[in-house]
Amino acid sequence: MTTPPASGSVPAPAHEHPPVSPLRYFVVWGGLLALTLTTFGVSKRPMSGQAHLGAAIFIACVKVFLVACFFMHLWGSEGTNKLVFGVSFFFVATMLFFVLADVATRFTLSNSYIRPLPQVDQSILQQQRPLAPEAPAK
Amino acid sequence: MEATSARVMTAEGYLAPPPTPHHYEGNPGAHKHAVRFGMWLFLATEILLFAGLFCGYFVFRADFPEAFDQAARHLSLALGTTNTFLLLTSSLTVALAHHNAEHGHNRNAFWLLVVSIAMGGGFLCIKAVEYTEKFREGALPGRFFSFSEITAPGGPMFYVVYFFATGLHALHVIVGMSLLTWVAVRCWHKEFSPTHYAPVENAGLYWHLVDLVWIFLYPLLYLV
Repeated sequence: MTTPPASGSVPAPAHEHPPVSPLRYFVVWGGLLALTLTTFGVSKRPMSGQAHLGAAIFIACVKVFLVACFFMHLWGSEGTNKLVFGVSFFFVATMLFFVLADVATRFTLSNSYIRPLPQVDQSILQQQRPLAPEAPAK
Repeated sequence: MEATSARVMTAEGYLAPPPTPHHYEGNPGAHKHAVRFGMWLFLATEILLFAGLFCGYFVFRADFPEAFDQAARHLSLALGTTNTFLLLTSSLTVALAHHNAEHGHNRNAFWLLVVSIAMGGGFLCIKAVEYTEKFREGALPGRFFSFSEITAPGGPMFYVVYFFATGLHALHVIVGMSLLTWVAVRCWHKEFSPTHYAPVENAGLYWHLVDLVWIFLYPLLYLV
Protein backbone atom coordinates (compact mmCIF):
# COMPACT_ATOMS: atom_id res chain seq x y z
CA MET A 1 0.00 0.00 0.00
CA THR A 2 2.41 2.66 -1.13
CA THR A 3 0.26 4.09 -3.90
CA PRO A 4 -1.69 7.26 -3.16
CA PRO A 5 -5.41 6.69 -2.55
CA ALA A 6 -7.82 7.04 -5.40
CA SER A 7 -9.32 10.24 -4.07
CA GLY A 8 -5.99 11.95 -4.61
CA SER A 9 -6.80 12.13 -8.30
CA VAL A 10 -10.09 13.93 -7.66
CA PRO A 11 -9.53 17.65 -7.38
CA ALA A 12 -11.10 18.93 -4.18
CA PRO A 13 -11.75 22.58 -3.47
CA ALA A 14 -8.94 23.62 -1.16
CA HIS A 15 -11.06 26.11 0.81
CA GLU A 16 -14.81 26.55 0.65
CA HIS A 17 -14.58 29.93 2.32
CA PRO A 18 -12.39 32.83 1.16
CA PRO A 19 -8.91 32.90 2.71
CA VAL A 20 -8.99 34.41 6.18
CA SER A 21 -6.09 36.25 7.75
CA PRO A 22 -5.14 35.00 11.23
CA LEU A 23 -5.22 38.64 12.27
CA ARG A 24 -9.01 38.46 12.22
CA TYR A 25 -8.96 35.89 15.05
CA PHE A 26 -6.88 38.23 17.22
CA VAL A 27 -9.28 41.10 16.53
CA VAL A 28 -12.26 38.95 17.53
CA TRP A 29 -10.39 37.77 20.65
CA GLY A 30 -9.70 41.40 21.60
CA GLY A 31 -13.38 42.18 21.10
CA LEU A 32 -14.38 39.25 23.33
CA LEU A 33 -12.03 40.38 26.12
CA ALA A 34 -13.35 43.95 25.83
CA LEU A 35 -16.92 42.67 26.09
CA THR A 36 -15.96 40.60 29.15
CA LEU A 37 -14.62 43.75 30.80
CA THR A 38 -17.79 45.60 29.74
CA THR A 39 -20.11 43.01 31.30
CA PHE A 40 -17.95 43.11 34.46
CA GLY A 41 -18.13 46.92 34.58
CA VAL A 42 -21.88 47.02 33.90
CA SER A 43 -22.52 44.55 36.74
CA LYS A 44 -20.91 47.01 39.19
CA ARG A 45 -23.13 49.93 38.18
CA PRO A 46 -26.15 50.77 40.31
CA MET A 47 -29.10 49.35 38.36
CA SER A 48 -32.10 47.18 39.12
CA GLY A 49 -31.63 43.40 39.17
CA GLN A 50 -33.69 43.00 36.00
CA ALA A 51 -31.61 45.64 34.18
CA HIS A 52 -28.41 43.86 35.25
CA LEU A 53 -29.76 40.56 33.97
CA GLY A 54 -30.88 42.09 30.66
CA ALA A 55 -27.52 43.79 30.11
CA ALA A 56 -25.58 40.61 30.97
CA ILE A 57 -27.65 38.49 28.56
CA PHE A 58 -27.39 41.08 25.79
CA ILE A 59 -23.57 41.25 26.07
CA ALA A 60 -23.35 37.44 26.28
CA CYS A 61 -25.41 37.21 23.05
CA VAL A 62 -23.01 39.60 21.29
CA LYS A 63 -20.05 37.46 22.45
CA VAL A 64 -21.77 34.29 21.25
CA PHE A 65 -22.40 35.97 17.90
CA LEU A 66 -18.68 36.79 17.58
CA VAL A 67 -17.51 33.28 18.56
CA ALA A 68 -20.06 31.53 16.32
CA CYS A 69 -19.50 33.75 13.28
CA PHE A 70 -15.71 34.00 13.30
CA PHE A 71 -14.13 31.28 15.48
CA MET A 72 -16.71 28.71 14.36
CA HIS A 73 -16.78 30.11 10.81
CA LEU A 74 -20.55 30.36 10.64
CA TRP A 75 -20.04 33.61 8.74
CA GLY A 76 -19.68 32.50 5.13
CA SER A 77 -20.57 28.90 6.03
CA GLU A 78 -23.23 26.79 4.33
CA GLY A 79 -26.79 28.01 4.90
CA THR A 80 -27.77 24.68 6.47
CA ASN A 81 -25.31 25.21 9.35
CA LYS A 82 -26.66 28.70 9.97
CA LEU A 83 -30.17 27.29 9.93
CA VAL A 84 -29.32 24.62 12.53
CA PHE A 85 -27.66 27.12 14.86
CA GLY A 86 -30.37 29.74 14.39
CA VAL A 87 -33.20 27.27 14.93
CA SER A 88 -31.60 25.83 18.08
CA PHE A 89 -31.33 29.34 19.49
CA PHE A 90 -34.92 30.04 18.51
CA PHE A 91 -36.11 26.90 20.32
CA VAL A 92 -34.11 27.81 23.43
CA ALA A 93 -35.59 31.32 23.36
CA THR A 94 -39.11 29.88 22.92
CA MET A 95 -38.67 27.52 25.87
CA LEU A 96 -37.27 30.24 28.12
CA PHE A 97 -39.96 32.73 27.06
CA PHE A 98 -42.93 30.52 27.87
CA VAL A 99 -41.45 29.16 31.12
CA LEU A 100 -40.57 32.66 32.32
CA ALA A 101 -43.92 34.05 31.16
CA ASP A 102 -45.53 31.42 33.39
CA VAL A 103 -43.29 32.19 36.38
CA ALA A 104 -43.69 35.96 35.98
CA THR A 105 -47.49 35.92 35.81
CA ARG A 106 -48.26 33.53 38.67
CA PHE A 107 -50.47 34.87 41.44
CA THR A 108 -51.81 33.57 44.72
CA LEU A 109 -55.30 32.20 44.19
CA SER A 110 -56.63 33.14 47.65
CA ASN A 111 -55.92 36.82 46.98
CA SER A 112 -57.41 36.81 43.50
CA TYR A 113 -60.68 38.19 42.21
CA ILE A 114 -62.11 34.69 41.83
CA ARG A 115 -65.08 34.31 44.16
CA PRO A 116 -64.91 31.49 46.69
CA LEU A 117 -66.80 28.34 45.79
CA PRO A 118 -70.37 28.16 47.18
CA GLN A 119 -70.86 26.07 50.28
CA VAL A 120 -72.09 22.59 49.54
CA ASP A 121 -75.57 21.92 50.84
CA GLN A 122 -74.93 19.08 53.30
CA SER A 123 -78.53 17.83 52.97
CA ILE A 124 -77.81 16.83 49.37
CA LEU A 125 -75.11 14.48 50.58
CA GLN A 126 -77.62 12.85 52.97
CA GLN A 127 -79.94 11.90 50.11
CA GLN A 128 -77.81 9.05 48.88
CA ARG A 129 -79.53 7.14 46.17
CA PRO A 130 -79.62 3.42 46.84
CA LEU A 131 -77.23 1.35 44.79
CA ALA A 132 -78.70 -0.22 41.68
CA PRO A 133 -79.74 -3.84 42.34
CA GLU A 134 -77.34 -6.36 40.98
CA ALA A 135 -78.39 -8.28 37.90
CA PRO A 136 -80.10 -11.52 38.95
CA ALA A 137 -77.90 -14.55 38.58
CA LYS A 138 -79.03 -16.97 35.88
CA MET B 1 -3.44 4.31 13.36
CA GLU B 2 -2.99 1.73 10.61
CA ALA B 3 -4.62 4.19 8.23
CA THR B 4 -1.91 6.70 9.11
CA SER B 5 0.97 4.27 8.63
CA ALA B 6 -0.40 3.06 5.30
CA ARG B 7 -0.47 6.51 3.76
CA VAL B 8 2.40 8.20 2.00
CA MET B 9 3.94 11.60 2.66
CA THR B 10 3.23 14.12 -0.11
CA ALA B 11 5.78 16.55 -1.50
CA GLU B 12 4.15 19.33 0.52
CA GLY B 13 5.10 17.58 3.77
CA TYR B 14 1.85 16.01 4.98
CA LEU B 15 0.24 12.63 4.67
CA ALA B 16 -1.90 12.02 1.62
CA PRO B 17 -5.57 12.43 2.62
CA PRO B 18 -7.65 9.32 3.29
CA PRO B 19 -9.91 8.13 0.46
CA THR B 20 -13.30 9.83 0.26
CA PRO B 21 -16.19 7.47 1.14
CA HIS B 22 -17.44 5.80 -2.01
CA HIS B 23 -20.85 7.47 -1.94
CA TYR B 24 -19.07 10.86 -2.13
CA GLU B 25 -16.69 9.67 -4.85
CA GLY B 26 -16.06 12.52 -7.25
CA ASN B 27 -17.69 15.09 -4.96
CA PRO B 28 -15.44 15.69 -1.94
CA GLY B 29 -17.05 19.07 -1.40
CA ALA B 30 -20.34 17.37 -0.53
CA HIS B 31 -18.46 15.10 1.90
CA LYS B 32 -17.05 18.12 3.72
CA HIS B 33 -20.48 19.72 3.89
CA ALA B 34 -21.97 16.53 5.34
CA VAL B 35 -19.23 16.17 7.98
CA ARG B 36 -19.61 19.78 9.09
CA PHE B 37 -23.42 19.71 8.98
CA GLY B 38 -23.47 16.59 11.17
CA MET B 39 -21.31 18.35 13.74
CA TRP B 40 -23.61 21.38 13.78
CA LEU B 41 -26.63 19.13 14.32
CA PHE B 42 -24.84 17.55 17.27
CA LEU B 43 -23.97 20.99 18.65
CA ALA B 44 -27.66 21.95 18.44
CA THR B 45 -28.53 19.02 20.73
CA GLU B 46 -25.81 20.17 23.13
CA ILE B 47 -27.23 23.70 23.17
CA LEU B 48 -30.67 22.32 24.02
CA LEU B 49 -29.14 20.12 26.77
CA PHE B 50 -27.66 23.17 28.51
CA ALA B 51 -30.82 25.17 27.85
CA GLY B 52 -32.68 22.98 30.35
CA LEU B 53 -30.22 23.98 33.07
CA PHE B 54 -30.46 27.65 32.12
CA CYS B 55 -34.24 27.35 32.30
CA GLY B 56 -33.90 25.93 35.83
CA TYR B 57 -31.60 28.82 36.73
CA PHE B 58 -34.16 31.43 35.67
CA VAL B 59 -37.07 29.70 37.40
CA PHE B 60 -35.24 29.27 40.73
CA ARG B 61 -33.82 32.77 40.50
CA ALA B 62 -37.37 34.11 40.11
CA ASP B 63 -38.46 32.02 43.11
CA PHE B 64 -35.52 32.89 45.41
CA PRO B 65 -34.06 36.22 44.26
CA GLU B 66 -32.45 37.10 47.62
CA ALA B 67 -30.73 33.73 48.06
CA PHE B 68 -29.38 33.92 44.49
CA ASP B 69 -28.10 37.43 45.17
CA GLN B 70 -26.39 36.39 48.42
CA ALA B 71 -24.91 33.21 46.91
CA ALA B 72 -23.57 35.00 43.82
CA ARG B 73 -21.66 37.37 46.11
CA HIS B 74 -19.94 34.37 47.71
CA LEU B 75 -18.50 33.15 44.39
CA SER B 76 -14.97 34.30 43.65
CA LEU B 77 -15.20 36.93 40.92
CA ALA B 78 -11.42 36.82 40.37
CA LEU B 79 -11.42 33.05 39.74
CA GLY B 80 -14.51 33.24 37.50
CA THR B 81 -13.03 36.08 35.44
CA THR B 82 -9.68 34.27 35.12
CA ASN B 83 -11.53 31.21 33.84
CA THR B 84 -13.40 33.35 31.30
CA PHE B 85 -10.08 34.73 30.09
CA LEU B 86 -8.61 31.20 29.83
CA LEU B 87 -11.53 29.82 27.80
CA LEU B 88 -11.74 32.81 25.44
CA THR B 89 -7.98 32.63 24.80
CA SER B 90 -8.08 28.86 24.30
CA SER B 91 -10.82 29.43 21.71
CA LEU B 92 -8.44 31.80 19.93
CA THR B 93 -5.63 29.21 19.90
CA VAL B 94 -8.01 26.48 18.71
CA ALA B 95 -9.22 28.75 15.87
CA LEU B 96 -5.56 29.41 14.97
CA ALA B 97 -4.80 25.66 15.12
CA HIS B 98 -7.67 25.04 12.71
CA HIS B 99 -6.29 27.75 10.42
CA ASN B 100 -2.81 26.19 10.51
CA ALA B 101 -4.07 22.63 9.96
CA GLU B 102 -6.14 23.85 7.03
CA HIS B 103 -2.97 25.24 5.45
CA GLY B 104 -0.94 22.11 6.16
CA HIS B 105 1.15 23.66 8.97
CA ASN B 106 0.72 20.62 11.20
CA ARG B 107 3.47 21.40 13.72
CA ASN B 108 2.14 24.91 14.35
CA ALA B 109 -1.33 23.43 14.82
CA PHE B 110 0.10 20.85 17.23
CA TRP B 111 1.68 23.46 19.51
CA LEU B 112 -1.40 25.67 19.40
CA LEU B 113 -3.52 22.67 20.42
CA VAL B 114 -1.09 21.88 23.26
CA VAL B 115 -1.48 25.45 24.53
CA SER B 116 -5.28 25.13 24.26
CA ILE B 117 -5.28 21.85 26.20
CA ALA B 118 -3.07 23.43 28.87
CA MET B 119 -5.53 26.32 29.21
CA GLY B 120 -8.38 23.82 29.53
CA GLY B 121 -6.38 22.12 32.28
CA GLY B 122 -5.88 25.49 33.97
CA PHE B 123 -9.63 26.07 33.80
CA LEU B 124 -10.30 22.73 35.51
CA CYS B 125 -7.70 23.41 38.23
CA ILE B 126 -9.33 26.75 39.06
CA LYS B 127 -12.73 25.06 39.08
CA ALA B 128 -11.35 22.46 41.51
CA VAL B 129 -10.14 25.25 43.82
CA GLU B 130 -13.62 26.79 43.74
CA TYR B 131 -15.34 23.43 44.39
CA THR B 132 -13.00 22.70 47.32
CA GLU B 133 -13.93 26.02 48.88
CA LYS B 134 -17.65 25.28 48.42
CA PHE B 135 -17.30 21.85 50.04
CA ARG B 136 -15.37 23.38 52.97
CA GLU B 137 -18.06 26.01 53.53
CA GLY B 138 -20.94 23.57 53.19
CA ALA B 139 -22.23 25.56 50.23
CA LEU B 140 -23.72 22.46 48.65
CA PRO B 141 -26.92 21.41 46.84
CA GLY B 142 -30.10 20.23 48.49
CA ARG B 143 -29.97 18.61 51.93
CA PHE B 144 -26.15 18.78 52.02
CA PHE B 145 -26.38 22.57 52.34
CA SER B 146 -25.01 23.92 55.63
CA PHE B 147 -23.71 27.37 54.73
CA SER B 148 -24.65 29.82 57.49
CA GLU B 149 -23.84 32.99 55.54
CA ILE B 150 -26.79 32.57 53.19
CA THR B 151 -29.80 33.41 55.30
CA ALA B 152 -32.51 33.86 52.66
CA PRO B 153 -34.57 30.78 51.77
CA GLY B 154 -33.53 28.92 48.62
CA GLY B 155 -29.74 28.80 49.15
CA PRO B 156 -29.62 25.04 48.47
CA MET B 157 -31.37 25.61 45.13
CA PHE B 158 -28.68 28.05 43.98
CA TYR B 159 -26.06 25.39 44.59
CA VAL B 160 -28.12 22.76 42.77
CA VAL B 161 -28.01 25.01 39.70
CA TYR B 162 -24.38 26.00 40.32
CA PHE B 163 -23.02 22.47 40.67
CA PHE B 164 -25.11 20.91 37.91
CA ALA B 165 -24.42 23.69 35.39
CA THR B 166 -20.69 24.07 36.11
CA GLY B 167 -20.31 20.29 36.60
CA LEU B 168 -21.87 19.48 33.22
CA HIS B 169 -19.76 22.22 31.69
CA ALA B 170 -16.58 20.84 33.31
CA LEU B 171 -17.45 17.42 31.90
CA HIS B 172 -17.62 19.03 28.46
CA VAL B 173 -14.23 20.67 29.09
CA ILE B 174 -12.77 17.21 29.82
CA VAL B 175 -14.33 15.73 26.67
CA GLY B 176 -13.14 18.74 24.66
CA MET B 177 -9.59 18.37 25.99
CA SER B 178 -9.65 14.67 25.04
CA LEU B 179 -10.77 15.53 21.50
CA LEU B 180 -8.09 18.20 21.19
CA THR B 181 -5.46 15.70 22.42
CA TRP B 182 -6.64 13.22 19.78
CA VAL B 183 -6.33 15.74 16.94
CA ALA B 184 -3.03 17.09 18.36
CA VAL B 185 -1.51 13.61 18.05
CA ARG B 186 -2.73 13.44 14.47
CA CYS B 187 -1.23 16.89 13.84
CA TRP B 188 2.09 15.60 15.18
CA HIS B 189 1.90 12.85 12.54
CA LYS B 190 1.34 15.58 9.92
CA GLU B 191 -1.98 14.17 8.90
CA PHE B 192 -3.82 17.36 7.97
CA SER B 193 -3.72 19.28 4.73
CA PRO B 194 -5.82 21.72 2.70
CA THR B 195 -7.97 18.79 1.53
CA HIS B 196 -8.25 17.00 4.87
CA TYR B 197 -8.70 18.90 8.14
CA ALA B 198 -12.25 18.00 9.25
CA PRO B 199 -11.17 16.38 12.58
CA VAL B 200 -9.41 19.59 13.67
CA GLU B 201 -12.38 21.65 12.56
CA ASN B 202 -14.97 19.50 14.37
CA ALA B 203 -12.94 19.13 17.59
CA GLY B 204 -12.51 22.91 17.42
CA LEU B 205 -16.26 23.41 16.98
CA TYR B 206 -16.85 21.33 20.12
CA TRP B 207 -14.32 23.39 22.04
CA HIS B 208 -15.94 26.64 20.89
CA LEU B 209 -19.30 25.33 22.12
CA VAL B 210 -17.75 24.78 25.57
CA ASP B 211 -16.69 28.43 25.36
CA LEU B 212 -20.20 29.54 24.29
CA VAL B 213 -21.80 27.87 27.31
CA TRP B 214 -19.31 29.50 29.67
CA ILE B 215 -19.99 32.91 28.08
CA PHE B 216 -23.54 32.60 29.46
CA LEU B 217 -22.65 30.86 32.74
CA TYR B 218 -20.08 33.45 33.80
CA PRO B 219 -22.36 36.54 34.00
CA LEU B 220 -25.41 34.62 35.23
CA LEU B 221 -23.61 32.91 38.13
CA TYR B 222 -20.88 35.38 39.03
CA LEU B 223 -22.11 38.84 38.03
CA VAL B 224 -25.88 39.35 38.26
